[in-house]
Amino acid sequence: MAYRALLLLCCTALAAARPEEAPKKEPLELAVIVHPKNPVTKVTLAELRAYLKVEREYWPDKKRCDVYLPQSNTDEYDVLLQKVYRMSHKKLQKYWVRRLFSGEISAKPSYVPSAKAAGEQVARGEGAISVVAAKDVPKGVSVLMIDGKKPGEAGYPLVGTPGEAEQEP
Amino acid sequence: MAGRTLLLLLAVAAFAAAEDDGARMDALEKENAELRQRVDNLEGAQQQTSKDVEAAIEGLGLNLVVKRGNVWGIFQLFGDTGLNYASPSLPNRGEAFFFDGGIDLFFTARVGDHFQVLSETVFLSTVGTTTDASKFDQERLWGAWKFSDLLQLKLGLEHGPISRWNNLYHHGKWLELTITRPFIARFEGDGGIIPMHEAGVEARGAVPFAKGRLTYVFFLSNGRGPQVTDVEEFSDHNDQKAITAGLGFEPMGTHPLWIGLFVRWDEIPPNEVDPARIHSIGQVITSIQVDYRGERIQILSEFAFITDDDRTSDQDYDHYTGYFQIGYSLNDEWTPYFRFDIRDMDAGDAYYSPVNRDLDVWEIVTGVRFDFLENAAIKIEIGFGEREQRDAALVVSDKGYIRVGFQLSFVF
Repeated sequence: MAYRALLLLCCTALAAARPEEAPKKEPLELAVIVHPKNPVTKVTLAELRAYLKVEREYWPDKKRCDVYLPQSNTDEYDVLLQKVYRMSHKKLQKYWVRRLFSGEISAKPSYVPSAKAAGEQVARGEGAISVVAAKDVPKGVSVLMIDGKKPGEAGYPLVGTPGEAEQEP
Repeated sequence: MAGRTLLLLLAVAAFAAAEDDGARMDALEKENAELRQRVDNLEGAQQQTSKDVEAAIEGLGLNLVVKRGNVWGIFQLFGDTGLNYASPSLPNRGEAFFFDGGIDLFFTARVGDHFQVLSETVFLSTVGTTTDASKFDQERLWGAWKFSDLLQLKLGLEHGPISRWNNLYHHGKWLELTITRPFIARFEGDGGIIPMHEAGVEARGAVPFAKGRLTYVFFLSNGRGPQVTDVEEFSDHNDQKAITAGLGFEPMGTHPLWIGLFVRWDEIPPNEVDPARIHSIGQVITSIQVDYRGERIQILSEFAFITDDDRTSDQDYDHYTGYFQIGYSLNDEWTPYFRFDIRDMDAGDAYYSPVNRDLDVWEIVTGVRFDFLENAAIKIEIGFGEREQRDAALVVSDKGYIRVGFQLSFVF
């Protein structure tokens, strides 16, 4: 009897200790926005990576590409880490420090608090690029096609579920 | 009548005065509107600046970023401290000791879209034969104009590209996976055999194409001084300049993989105080570099081959050094690592032998890095191997050694 009671107690304790599963988030689609005067209208995912990782610092028209990222506590940033940077936030922070320290880049990307702020920065700078949720694309900007696809089209690559890290070796 | 006339005059005067007041009021209102507009503009500009600053507040540590108009300035500070155990010990020292690794002050600024300056200043401690000292070193100082991704021209003092490690980490110990640098990347004053610092002019750029990205570097510099410890950052002992040229390739579609091939030619000037060095030495260094940074696995490996054409002894000396290092991130905090490191030298090279750098050494290094904070890490490392040593009678023998290190490194 005592054994059964102990077992029941253990099961109860285990059930209580089990962390509550966070509600699963809906897939989020991102849109890449640039200034309307930017001659680039479509890029491959690899090219987008090069721009957002500041491996390419200039657009073909020689304007500097200024990167504005969503803040790190947002779902947009989370999906961006999965689909573009393919590294954790901590590793990305270290990546920026290393590249800046090496002199490979002259400034780190800036972070914007909202899609509206991203739109303002992009509308102001002809070389600016930012990433927002596809449902929140502000007015006065152009949306880039990625791998020949627009947001909403089948096979568009910038779709991910926030919180689901893509672990690759 | 006179009273009426006076009254009329007064009325006219009052009307004129009122008209004057009206004109003045109009002028004042206009001036007021202009001033209000200027205040609005200034407040708008102020809000704009605030927005810009707000848009740049994320980053590691203090993230000291300043933006004024078209000037971006970024400050960063690196530091490290720790303790070491080494057996056999350094001359005139105990086997275990605490150490202060130094402070690295970094600053870079961009003006407009194309101009950048960078400075790295280090306050570091040096271990002498009898006493230790702290010293101040300007490690890097350059200005660069970036025309586009295809071409950047840089003038000043820079870490040379012949070693990948040197170009990745500079003096930022927090950035390094390990506590110690491999033999190939040891500094001139710290047992190194390859020039780490170069003063000169550099052209570099990147050419993207379908299969990946090709980067190139061409560096014309003062070159090496008469002794292996010399860094010719202020002047040059000869008119022949050193040339470093290299290519790097990053294939598209992989995790960041970088493969590089570099060659450096230099004419090392004679050393007037050394009878074995009355003529110059022609030195050629070739290095092969591989850098892979996956999400979990990071591999860094490079090998350098050195050929010294000694015109005093009329002999050639061939040396090589290289390492293979691998780290595996268990998560964002823990990264165990391993490195095999070797330096194989032809004995008797008059350039390296006065400071015993013509001696062979190999080492195995293993350890773990723990990033307990976003901007601070602890590393624990064991290194063991075998090195040649030369005694007072100039007899060379092999001797095993072991060392254990603990390091706290940080960035702010």
